[in-house]
Formats: sequence, C-alpha cells, structure tokens
Amino acid sequence: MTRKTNEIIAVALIVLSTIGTVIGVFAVEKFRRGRIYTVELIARQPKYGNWYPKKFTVPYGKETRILIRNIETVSHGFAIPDLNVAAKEIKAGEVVVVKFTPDKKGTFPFMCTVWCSDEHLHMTGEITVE
Amino acid sequence: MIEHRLHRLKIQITQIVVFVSCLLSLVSLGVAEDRFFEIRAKKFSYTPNIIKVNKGDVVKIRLISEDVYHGLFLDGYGINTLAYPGQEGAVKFVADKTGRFSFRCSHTCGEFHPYMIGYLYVSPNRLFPLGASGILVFAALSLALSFRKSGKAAKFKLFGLVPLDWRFELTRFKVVRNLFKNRWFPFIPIVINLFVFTIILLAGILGGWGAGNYNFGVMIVWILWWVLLMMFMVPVVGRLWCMVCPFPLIGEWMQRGKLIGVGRQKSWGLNKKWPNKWKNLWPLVILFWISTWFSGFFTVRPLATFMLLGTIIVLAIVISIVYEKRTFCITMCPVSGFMGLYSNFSLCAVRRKDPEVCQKHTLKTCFLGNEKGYGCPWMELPYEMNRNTYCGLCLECFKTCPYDNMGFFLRPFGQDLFAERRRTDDLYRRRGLDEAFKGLTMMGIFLSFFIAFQGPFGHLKDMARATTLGGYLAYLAESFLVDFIFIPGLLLLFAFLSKRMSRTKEVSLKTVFVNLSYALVPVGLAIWAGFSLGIILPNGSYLLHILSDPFALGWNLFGTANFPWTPVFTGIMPYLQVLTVMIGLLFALDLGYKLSLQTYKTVEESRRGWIPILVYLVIIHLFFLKLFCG
Amino acid sequence: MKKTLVILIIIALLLSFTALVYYAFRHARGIPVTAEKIERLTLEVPFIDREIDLSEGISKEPWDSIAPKEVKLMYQVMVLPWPKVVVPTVTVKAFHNGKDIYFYMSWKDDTEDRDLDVNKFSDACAIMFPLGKEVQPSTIMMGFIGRANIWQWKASQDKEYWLKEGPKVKAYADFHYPFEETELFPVSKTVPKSAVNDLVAIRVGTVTPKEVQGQVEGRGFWRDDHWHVVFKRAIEAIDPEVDTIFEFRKKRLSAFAVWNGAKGDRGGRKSISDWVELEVE
Repeated sequence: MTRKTNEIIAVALIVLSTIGTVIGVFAVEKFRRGRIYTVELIARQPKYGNWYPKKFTVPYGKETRILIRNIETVSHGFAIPDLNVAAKEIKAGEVVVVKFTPDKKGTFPFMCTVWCSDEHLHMTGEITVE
Repeated sequence: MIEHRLHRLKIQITQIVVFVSCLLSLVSLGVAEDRFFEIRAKKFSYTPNIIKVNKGDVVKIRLISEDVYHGLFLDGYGINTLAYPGQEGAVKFVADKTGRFSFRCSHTCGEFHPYMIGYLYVSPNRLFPLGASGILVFAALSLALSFRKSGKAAKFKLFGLVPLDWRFELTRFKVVRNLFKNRWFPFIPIVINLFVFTIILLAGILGGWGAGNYNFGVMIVWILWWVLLMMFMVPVVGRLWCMVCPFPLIGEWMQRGKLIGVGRQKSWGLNKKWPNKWKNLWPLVILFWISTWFSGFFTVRPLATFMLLGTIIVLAIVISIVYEKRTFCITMCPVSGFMGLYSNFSLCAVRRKDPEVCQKHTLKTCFLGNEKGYGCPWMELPYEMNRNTYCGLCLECFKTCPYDNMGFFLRPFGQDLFAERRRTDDLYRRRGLDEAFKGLTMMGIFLSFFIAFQGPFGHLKDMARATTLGGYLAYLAESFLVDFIFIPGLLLLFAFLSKRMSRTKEVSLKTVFVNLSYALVPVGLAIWAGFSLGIILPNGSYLLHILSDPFALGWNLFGTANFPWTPVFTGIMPYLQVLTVMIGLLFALDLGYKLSLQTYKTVEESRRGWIPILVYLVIIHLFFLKLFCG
Repeated sequence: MKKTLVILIIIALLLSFTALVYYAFRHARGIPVTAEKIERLTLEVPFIDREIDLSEGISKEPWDSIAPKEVKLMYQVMVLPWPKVVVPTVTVKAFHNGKDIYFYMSWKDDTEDRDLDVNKFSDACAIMFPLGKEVQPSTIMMGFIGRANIWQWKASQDKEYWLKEGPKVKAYADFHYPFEETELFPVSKTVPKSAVNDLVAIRVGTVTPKEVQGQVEGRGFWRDDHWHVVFKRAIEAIDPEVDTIFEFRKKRLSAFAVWNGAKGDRGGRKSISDWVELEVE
C-alpha cells in the first residue's frame, strides 16, 4: 500500500466515522418515520411548548400509529378518551407508539394523563379524524 | 532498648484498640419496635432526609410527593415504591440488615433525579467501627514496622514484597512491539473513539434539556467512561485514555498535514511555544477546578455535556494551530491533570530500555523525529523520561527510535513516586506545589461531589444546580475554600508538625509538604474508585437502554431499550467502598513512609517525621470511612 | 500570511460552534413554539340585594341580571375510571346579598336522570373550594396538601329532598369502587337533609360527608335539554376548619364538576374544570 493510499483510507475513515455517522442517523430516522409512523408527537409541559403538533389530522378507517417522544425530565401520559385510546405512562426520555384505527369522524381532544407540572391540566391538543 | 519498649507499647495499644472496638460493635441497642416515617419527596430531596432505626424494627414508610412523580428505592433491601401528588406510596419491612443504606428516587422526576438520595441508618452500624479499627490497626502496624532495624534500605520494596525499581518489558513479545511500531496504531482505536464521540455529541444536541439518564452522551461520558477511567484505566495503564483520545486528532492533522504518513515535523500552524514556567500542572489545577463548577449541569443535561465537550474540542483545535504539538493536552485538557499525577502510581509505563544505547545515540530522534515518526508530541525526552506524568502513550518514540530501544513496561504500583529529579523538572517548575495541589484539589473535589451528589442534603443539591444565584456562588466559594485553603492547610499543618518532630535542619517545609503530598496519590485513586462505585452500581442499568436507543428516537438496536432501572449490588456497595478506602490506606502507609525516608536525611528523622503524617492519614481515612458508611 | 489564515480558521470555528450551540439551545425542548398564555377565569360575585327561597324555585331574576361565565370542562383522566363522554362547558353565575352566597350552574344534558337503579346513575354537579393556605396545584386531586370543601348536588337526592319521593327500587343502589356494571348494594337509607352533600376531602378516595349536613342548600331543574342548579349557603362559615370562608374583596379559588348520569358518570367519571378565581365584592 502506498503512502497516498494510506492517507486516503485514513481520511475516509475519519469522514465516515463523523459526518457519515451523522448523515446515517438522520437518514435512518427519516426512513423510519416515513414508513412507520403517521404522526410524531413531542410531549412537553405547557410552559415549554405543550404538545407538538398541538393539532393534527389522521385518516378515518386506516390504522394510525402515533409516535410519542417524551423529551423532558418528567413523565407524561397520553389519552384520547373519545376514541378509547390511551398510552401508559411515558417516562422521561421514553418513546412509545400508540396504534389504533379511528372509528368515528370529528375533532377530539387528547391530553396528558400523568401529573407532570402545575399546568398539567392545560396539556391538551386536538386530533381530527376525516 | 528504648525502641524495643516502644515497639511493645505500640503492640499493646493496638491490642487494646482492637478489643475495645470489637466490644463496641457487639453492643446492640434496644428491643425491636414499630417505626413509622412519613417521608415527603420534593425535587430533589426527601424530608426527613436521614432516618434512624434499630435492628429488628418493623419500619413503615409513607411516601408523599409534593410536586411530581417520585419514588423510593432502598439500597440493600431492594424495596421500591412510587408516589405522585394525590397518590402516596407505602413500604413496610423489617430492618434486619445493619449499616447505612441510601434510599433513592426510583422514578425520573427531573434533571437531578439520580442525585435524589436519603440515608437510612440501622443500628448498630458494624461496618464503621470495623473499618475504623482496621484503620487504626494498619496505622499501628505501619508505625511498628517503621522501627525495624533495616531502616533506610538500599532498595525500597512495595509492601516488602516487590522491589520498587523492578520492571517487566511487555514489548519483548514481537506481537506487541510490532503493534506499537505500526503507524495505524493507535490511529484505529482513536477513530473508533471518534465515532463514539460523534454519537455522544449528536445525542447531546438532540437531547436538549431532556433527562440525562436516558441520554447516550451523558451516560457514556459520566457513567461509563469516568468509572472506567478511575477504576481501571488510570491505576492500570496510566494515561491509556490519552493514547486513544480523539480530541487532538483534528488539530494534529492540521499541524502535520498527514494523518497516517509522516510529513513535516514542524507544525503548519503558528507553532508558538508555551512559556516554560507554565509547563506544569498549575494551569490544569485551575482549569479542572473551574470545570467542576458546572458539574451540576453537564452531568445531567445532554446539551450541557455537548457544550462542555464541544468547547474542549474547539479549544483543542485552536491551541493546536497556534501552539506547538500537544500543548493542549499538556496544559489545557481538564482530565490531563489528574491523569498525569495519578499515572505515577500505575502499573504500566513507557521507558527507554538500555541507557547506554541512548547515551551513544547523539541525534535523539525520539525527540526530534525522523521519516518513521514524529518527535515526541508531548515534548518529553523519551531517552531520559522517568515518570508517567507527561507521557501520553502516543507511541511515536517506538516508531522513531532506530535501535528499538523504547519499551512498554509492567512495574509495581507507585514506582514513579520515587523517581529522580530531572533538569526539565526544574526548567518547567514541575514536581512542586503544582503536583501537590493537584492531588489535594482532587481530594477536595471528591468531598464536594460526594457530599453534594451522593449525600442526602437537599440544599447542597439546590446550590449545585444554581436554583438561586446566591446559593450557587456560595457553592463555588465553599469549593474554593475547601479545595485551596482547608485541605492544603490541613496537610500543611501536619507537614509542619512532621518537620518539627523530625528535628531536621536542612529539609524545607515546602519539600516536606510536596513530597508527602505524593502519599495522597493512591488515596485519591481509592476514594474516586469508591465514588465511581456509587455511580455505576445504582445507575449502570441505564447503559443498556441508551445502547439500544441512543437518541431517544424510539430505536431498539439491541432489544434492551425497555430495560428497567435496576440497581445492582447496592447491599454490598458500602463494603466495596470501604474496601477501596482500605486499599488506598495501605498504599499510602507503605509509600508514604518510603517518601518520608526519601525526604529526610537520616532514618531517625524519617521515623519521627512520619508520625504526624501517620496521624494525618488516619484522620482523613476515618473521615472517608464516615462518608462512605457512617 | 499564515497568521491571518490561522486567525480566520479560529474565527470560523468559534462562529460555527456558537451557531450550533445557539441552534441547539433553541431546540433544547423540541421545536420552539411561542408558549401560550394560560389565563385563569375570574368569576365575580356581585352584591345583589335579593333573596332566593329554594323551596319556591331557583328564580329567574336576579340571575338574568348577571353576565354568565362559560367554564370549559375536560375529561377527568388522572385516575381510572374515565368518563365516556365529556360535558364541554358549564355556565356559571354567582352573587351574594351580604347574608347568603348563591351559585348558579347550567349545562347541556339531553336527558334528565334523577333515578337510581341498576345501571342508572344520577346527574350531578359540584363546586369545590380549597380550604387553607396551601393550595395544591391540581383540582382533580380534591385537595392534597390542604383540604377541600366540596358541595355536591345530586339530581336523585334533589328529587328525594324536595319532592319527598323515595327511590322506586327497594334496594338503594349507588356506586362503589371497584366499578361494576351491575351494582346493587342495599345500604341503610338516610333521609337527606339537603339536595346538596357537604363534603370534605384531602385527596382521591377520602371524600367524607361532614357531620352536620343541611348548611348548603341546592335545587335543580331540567328544562330544554339544560340543567339549572342553584346552590345557597350562608356567607359566614360556621366551622372554619371544614367550611369554606368567603372574604369580601378577596380572591379565592374554586372549581366545578359535572356528572352526566345517562353516560354512566359517577364518582371519578366526571367532567372537571380548571381553577376559577372567585372575587366576592
């Protein structure tokens, strides 16, 4: 192996392990999101932004998979009482998937079900089925 | 004759001490009762934070949460309960195990959740009197042994077994030597670490202000790497981390213009020289201490870890293109200070094999470099290097030496503490108060960290995480007073007593102070190992989660993403910690007396001067014992 | 030449790192969103020199002269079981005449459910007032660090008290935890002293009726798919330990809850409001 080849290999290794890793992570995640989940929800206390997105739409009759990420240091919960959908406690840093097929059309509230902060009662959003 | 009597007296005193402490530990107090405690949990402490019961008591605890979801897990008993506002938790158990047990929060409640701790004392506490008597016994033994006839022996032997100047060359094996001479080593391990650190930095950014215990960056750096560093890497191989550290890679690449091959010896950058009088541990003493101001943030917040590491990386690159070689590593990397000092104690070292060969070799390519490799980037002189403090195990000298005269040696613990003073030590003002203060501040930082983060005092935790500016400043002030005034002051006092008792006429107080501070090197390693146990045993299980889901995106790479929080071995943790303290004490006693012999001119002076230092070691070890189990 | 290049590189490094840190800070809690302001509703309790005798009805005026406040209600989802359908809002009014304080609640309900039977539950509504200085943040925990005084009006109890009509079924069925669909639990019947139960609670599961009942009166009528309920109590608290204290020109907190019996609401199955601030003039 010539010296030049060695250098090229070394540089390639460095680029791969740094920029390659970053790109790889984002690419994998984009692929995953596109294929697997309908909506990604971030759970946050109301004073830090509340649910994101606070309002979203899902199609009627098709299986919906909601990915909920808790990016905080307290637990949250998730429930759509009108559609009989709920997730167990989502601990800090955890990610859960909620699967259901909506059986009625309309706009329904969803909310956090675990005491997370003083404004916990305001941690609600809207899901629209059409 | 008098010495013999004194010797007998020492043995008698030891026997009495042992007898009395055994007696004390056997006295049990009281009859088993029903005890009830109402413990209120609020971010991030319990009220009451310390509860005391007797062995055999039936203990009921009602846990009430005052703000968010909290839990209570009792070390050693393994019982667990949860509570949130409106729903309380309850546990009931029989206190059949004695000692001190921490109870900790078992449900993530905020950023300081891993530090939310309280203490349960079940009397009688046998471990503390046992440990204390052990300390006194060892101290008495050390004193007795110091009166042996042999005195200032020609050769020091570690615990009287292994000569301190013994060494075994590991690079005599062709495989090892060829590996060290290959330019791809340690490059490949560095690239692997570069990959890991990329993930750490990415996880830090993506983690934001989320929970540290579920973040790859926080967990790998402060739980895995720190524990491995203190408990294995430094005591065994010394600066092993420096060998495989990815931080200087980019800077060095810019200096050299080549990654693998050997290019220009002189840095492409400005190649400035760091002033000689600061080429010692002083900058690192200050910088590491400053970085500990923020430990309440970067050990728990992913973004803070990212900022710390990112700052160090940027600094490394900037210093590399302004100054020569590994100036960053020697003068600015926060970890470099204690790694340098503590690696004097380690089992491994890079040294020249045959001094005659080096004497005949005038060109000194190990320092200047040649077409096979670079001149020592750490600006050491491999042909005469006799301590590990400033050797980063980069292995360039293996590549450049035309006579293959460098070797990687296995040797007994503590060998470098007795190394000869060199010209560069005086030129760069090394081996003086800088190293003494490094060891002393490490002890002080251990104290602050242990009491604040692994102790039950809520207001200290509030101060460390800056809930109020006043509290935070008080925390920094306390840190300064303890690290720079109180702990050095205590050693100074006993160094002064040692000098007085020795009745020496030539040795200066500063020499006594500095030389005897090296006895604290094994002590520092031991107490940090104990501290690390307190980190890894309760919280190690989080590592399984973050390996599967490093970015909290919902991945499950190894199937362990939902592994629950599982503290391990918390029952024997205090015993393990006491064990580390004892090991540290044994080394301190053995190496310390030898340091005393090396400091003073005559054996009699050394013996007399050793007594105050012995008392000092006993006092601090009793205090450490109390911290860990009392 | 070289020096400028080095300085440029350093500046570029610092700038990009700072930019990265700034970006990361902005997104440290997910995608940055302007935080919405959470307004707390204030219900004024004006002084009106009128008296209402509940035995005659709940009277239209003086209620017509007071502007109504719409209080949003939400599902109670902190503890199981949850309600099946939420009552979206309740209209609330209040006034006092120096001697007594009156509250009016009105909400939409398709059916009038006054009977208790197997699988049939009564409509109800309640007002909760936290007692004491330390008010815990959650309304749905029914008091926690401090205690709460709850006035619960039940349609079935209203029927019994005002119309003196006992339940048609021999066995008196109410609910108990754990919930069962079929509930038939004969208990000794007490004659209600009021249509309103005066309760004290310190957290979930500790609701306790006071020893002395009858201080709080209440009456409700169902008309045009809406319930209209009025509460009345003397403004002076008789036992400050367990009775709500109303102070003039001082704000105090209250919260409202509604049960829709037809949908199976009872106990924890209810629609609740957030804190509403009362201002007694």
